[in-house]
Amino acid sequence: MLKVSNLTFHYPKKGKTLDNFSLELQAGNIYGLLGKNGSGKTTLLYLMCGLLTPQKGDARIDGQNIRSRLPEVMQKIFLVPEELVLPNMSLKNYIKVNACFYPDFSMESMRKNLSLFEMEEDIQLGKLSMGQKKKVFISFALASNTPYLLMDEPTNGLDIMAKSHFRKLITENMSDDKCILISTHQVRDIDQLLDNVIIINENRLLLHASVQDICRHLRCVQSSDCELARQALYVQSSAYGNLLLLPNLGQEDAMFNLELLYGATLTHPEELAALFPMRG
Amino acid sequence: MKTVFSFNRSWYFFRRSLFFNIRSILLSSMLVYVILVILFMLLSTIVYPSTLWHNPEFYFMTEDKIRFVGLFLYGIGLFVFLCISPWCFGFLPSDAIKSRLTIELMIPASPLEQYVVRWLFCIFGGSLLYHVAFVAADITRCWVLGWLYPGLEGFRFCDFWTLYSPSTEFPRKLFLGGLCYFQSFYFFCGCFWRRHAYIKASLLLFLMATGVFWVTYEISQFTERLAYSEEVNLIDWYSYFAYFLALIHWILGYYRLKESENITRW
Repeated sequence: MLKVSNLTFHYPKKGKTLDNFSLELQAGNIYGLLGKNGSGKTTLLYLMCGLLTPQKGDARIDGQNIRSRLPEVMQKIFLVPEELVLPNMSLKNYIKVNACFYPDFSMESMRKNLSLFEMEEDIQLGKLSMGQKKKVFISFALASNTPYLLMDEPTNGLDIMAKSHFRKLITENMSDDKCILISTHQVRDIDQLLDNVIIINENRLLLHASVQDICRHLRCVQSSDCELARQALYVQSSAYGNLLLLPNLGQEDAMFNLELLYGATLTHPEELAALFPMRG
Repeated sequence: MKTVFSFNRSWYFFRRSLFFNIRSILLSSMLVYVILVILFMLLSTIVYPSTLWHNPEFYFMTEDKIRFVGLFLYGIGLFVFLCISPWCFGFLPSDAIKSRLTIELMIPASPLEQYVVRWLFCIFGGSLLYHVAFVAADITRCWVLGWLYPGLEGFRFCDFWTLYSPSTEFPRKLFLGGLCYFQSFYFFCGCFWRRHAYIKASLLLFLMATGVFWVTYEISQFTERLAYSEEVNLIDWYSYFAYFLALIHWILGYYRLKESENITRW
């Protein structure tokens, strides 16, 4: 379990980025972390990795404080940052010098991931585009088989097919002993992957619920009915009519629309908080 | 088992650092070698008297002069090279490559392991490279001059090992202590300052040296004891003090590097 307890953090000469923030991430789940620009998503990821020191609170991985930066703790977590700079060397050498730090690294998995991304093994990292570097690094991250994998905007820079391959890779590499947290604005790239949704805004946690719970309590309907729109928690206009987020009173099987849920959470945080009591 | 230091991991980190920096290491070595060859060739034309070039049948032993030149070049060069060694100032990447910093900081190696590897690169790696470049440049000098002037037999290798042997009159302890101190000073400043570390370190060193000189001079006005007295050999004490300060720099450098793992402190 990755547990964040009562975390308070602010950058020097700036207001609070996170205030008394608590969160628990369990193994066997894929979490989506959503929020506005500047809401603290990347900061939260860095705090979870021990790259930042909070003013209050702590982040623990399986009970161990990540700020201790013990190698045994660092081996359990892998961060894919939004921007990558890879050294100018061959991929084979890169794997040779980095894989040894991760005891569960699998070369077979690496080859499989690269093949799915249509990347060769025999390449020079310095000659790759940003998107290609991202494919290589994501392949390496998944092949390292760390229990906790944090990804910051992983689909930025990936082409349309690569985004589809990314979803497939995540699904294939996921297991009951792993936890993946994906921070992104590109909700349509990952909405079908997620087991849990976390939404943050203005230095606090607005929503932390499983997709199953969300679909049990809410349903998404496309309708131009004004009466129905008045009952909706949130309405989003589109070219084909209005998308409505309504309470799922009949406990029907409901479609999950992450974009709609995100809009509703930012607009009506109290209503959503009442429907989904905070965990962690 | 939780470990703060593991030889295995240190070796992995050493190998990783070597792979990542191999190009700059080779380029630095080549640059030092070329500079030394040029300096050796220039100094050789000054050391040898003009008659030697015009009258190949007449020569005199120039071994002492070459030794002096070689020692001078070796000592100064070693000081300069180690003090501006790229690894002294390459520990803390600048903002321009902050994204690389994030990946570097996530490597599962403890701060102590990372520091030890970088210390080895800087202290031993730099010294070894300079020694190899110096010997290669000296061999090149002798070979080139021997080829240009086949009739002359006065070319001898510079013997920098005299700096480390007990028989030299040169204050060996002071040389090694001073080298240790200056190199550790620049090493520590490289850990402390992120930008323009070399210029800031040199400025600080100049100010400190000026201050020490002024204080020593003022004190000497009030005392009959000289800085170096035959009654008390202060060279040894200066040397030990230099080693002590070097140790302080290295320890402070470690804690500064450890603190720098917090990316908001950049």
